[in-house]
Amino acid sequence: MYALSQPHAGHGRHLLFGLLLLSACGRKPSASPSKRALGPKVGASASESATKGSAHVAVKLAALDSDQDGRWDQLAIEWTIKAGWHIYWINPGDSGIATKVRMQGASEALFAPARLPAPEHWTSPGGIVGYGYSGQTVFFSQLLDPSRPPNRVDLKLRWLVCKDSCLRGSKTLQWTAPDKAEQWTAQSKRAWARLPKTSSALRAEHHWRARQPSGSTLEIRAQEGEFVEFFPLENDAGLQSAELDGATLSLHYRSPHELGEKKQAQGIVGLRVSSAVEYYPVEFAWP
Amino acid sequence: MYTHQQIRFFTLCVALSFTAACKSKPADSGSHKGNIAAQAPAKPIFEDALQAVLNQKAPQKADNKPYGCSVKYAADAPAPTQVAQVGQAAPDFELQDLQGKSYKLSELKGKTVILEWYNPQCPFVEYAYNEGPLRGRAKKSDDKVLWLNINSGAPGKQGSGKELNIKLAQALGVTQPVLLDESGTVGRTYGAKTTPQMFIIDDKGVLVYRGALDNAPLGKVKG
Repeated sequence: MYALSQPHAGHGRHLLFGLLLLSACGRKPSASPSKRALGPKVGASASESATKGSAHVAVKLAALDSDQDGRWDQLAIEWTIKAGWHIYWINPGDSGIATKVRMQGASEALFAPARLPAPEHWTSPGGIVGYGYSGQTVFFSQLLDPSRPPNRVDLKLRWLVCKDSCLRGSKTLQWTAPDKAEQWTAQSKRAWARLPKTSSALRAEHHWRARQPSGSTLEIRAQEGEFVEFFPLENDAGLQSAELDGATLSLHYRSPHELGEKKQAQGIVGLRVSSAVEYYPVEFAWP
Repeated sequence: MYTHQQIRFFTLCVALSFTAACKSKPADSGSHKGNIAAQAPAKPIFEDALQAVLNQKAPQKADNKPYGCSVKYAADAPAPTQVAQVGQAAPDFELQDLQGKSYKLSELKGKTVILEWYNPQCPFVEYAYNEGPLRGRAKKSDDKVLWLNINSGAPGKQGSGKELNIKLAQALGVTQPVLLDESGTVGRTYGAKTTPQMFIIDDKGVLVYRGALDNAPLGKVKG
């Protein structure tokens, strides 16, 4: 697996990155969630019908308004992970398993799939690379019709939490939703700010070129800024290595005839423009 | 206000990975994982590879990505001087099992040797033995095949220690030898990253498979 960063954007920063998998389909969230909360915090409650392995992971739900229209449109799933432990991104890396969010019952049709902030990365002894979250993070699931907010949200969460050992955990929640949007927490703002834009928003040129003796390289050149980190998606595409060199990102793959069917985008890239790092899906047609 | 059809379209569109498919009408359906009622059967990747090897054929996807817990190596273990490569001679090693019996790979030529990286407290391993593809399967060593579990967990890490391994081998029904590699030297040499991770060494001593048990971590088939 590859967790690549330029030296000045290294592990120590533990940047959170937004994985906006699917944003092109939904309403565009506002550029910043840093607006004031709309209305007083309303006491929503959740019951947990089934919980296991939660000693290292706490989860809280919140209803947030991302476009300042006075209605909540985002279900925030706020994770607090015990110090030293981590849960996993959708591509867990060399080990682990993706954290899963699954709406249940009537809620399934009311929300878009959860958007996960893209991960921190780490390397464990033995060169084992992982992508995930430590400390606090927030996943977001968009309410498809904010004009008709549900009174109740049902969902199930599953995770693997690891440190020197790994433990499975799951939680089934029946959450009584508030009437009004709740306060954005600092952690929600941080996670939201790091959600990737749409793939089409990445202003970059790309081309594929053959490599010798075999393989293909996807070379991406940003029109502005410099690439600072790349997170591959788990797409069985045979990524062998990736190189970040300023405005150029090069992804080296095995020979196309060995790759089989590729269903997903290549990954998520962090692009620093001025002092801010923004995140984009890397999604180009495969050769 | 969204109509029911709009919501359905939206949901489907969202499920199609990333943006491209969302910009056009949905051409297919059923790709929203949350809506799949019955998952496809798991692909027994390792089993298929083993059968191919026993039939003197090359396995497909001979070097694939495994899943599982990370191998709990010691943090200060030295880098290996040799790294195993699929298609090349398997690096020799000698390790002892829980009863003190030594196994030296170079003395096992003529047999197909399966190496299973193992941590009896890893949830993926527990699942594999209690409910999953290793339930009963790993006991089938015979004259042609020798199945060895290797635990490269450092002392103090999850699943490490002789006594614990003896106890948990019984609990999981592990009857094949469990070799302890507490220094992590053999694990690092073979590039073992997860538990469970499977390796097959053919009867000529060539590493011919390194990868996953199947495509279903914890019984959930990966798309």
